[in-house]
Amino acid sequence: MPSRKKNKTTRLRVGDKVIVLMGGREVVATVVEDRGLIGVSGRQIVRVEAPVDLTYVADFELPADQLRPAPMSAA
Amino acid sequence: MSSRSLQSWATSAAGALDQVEAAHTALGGIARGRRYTTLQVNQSYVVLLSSHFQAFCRDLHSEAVDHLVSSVQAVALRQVFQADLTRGRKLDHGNPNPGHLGNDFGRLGMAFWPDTNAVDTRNATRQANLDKMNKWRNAIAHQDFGPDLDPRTLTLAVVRRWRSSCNALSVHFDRVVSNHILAVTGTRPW
Repeated sequence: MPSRKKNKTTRLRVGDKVIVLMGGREVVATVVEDRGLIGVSGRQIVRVEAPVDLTYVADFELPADQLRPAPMSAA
Repeated sequence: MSSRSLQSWATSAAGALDQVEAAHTALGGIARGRRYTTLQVNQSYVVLLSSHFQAFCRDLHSEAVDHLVSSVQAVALRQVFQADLTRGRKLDHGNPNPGHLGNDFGRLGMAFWPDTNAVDTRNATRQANLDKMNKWRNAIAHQDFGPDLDPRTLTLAVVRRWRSSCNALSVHFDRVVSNHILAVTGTRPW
């Protein structure tokens, strides 16, 4: 997880690849919308798209400070 | 205190809508064609009003979800809940009509419209205005007015009335959502 200090200065951007948990496994998701600093204490909320299977991509929101960047090889 | 969403609605969204009002005012005079031009401005005003109100409602929902989920003790479940509460949300793709609002905020465990209408008896009329505004928004966006909507009746006074309803509803939405989060989590979010 990124440090708290880093969270305050690093803001996720559209197109960034991040790791999310889906069904107990880690999945590479793409940030598709920066929803702004509207979370608790002004934290950033982003909308991500994550592949559920070969035919379905889910989109939903998560706080940026709970996401970590996907390794470059996964992006 | 109010939500960040309401603050944004009352400042940046209001500023954008005020500019449409200014554009309408700038079309002064009695020159031929003015009436046709103001009709187009009024139609633009409705679409912009609906889109900004949709953005406010969507932001308020996101803000509420983040507060609700943050109260969950099991950290591992927070991501699951937050994703689930924001997946397939009507407000992400649809107008802020009463049905979509009731559906999306209902997923947070609220009786959204009964709660809102309990705050102020005039909110039932405002709810009806919101429904009318979104019907007009769709008619304008698709340029399909059907037999029921006559574009000549869409005056500035009508749009101002709808905006006034949106303004009042925004304050009451903010309050009832805050009350709901307080009841569920024990902490007032804003």
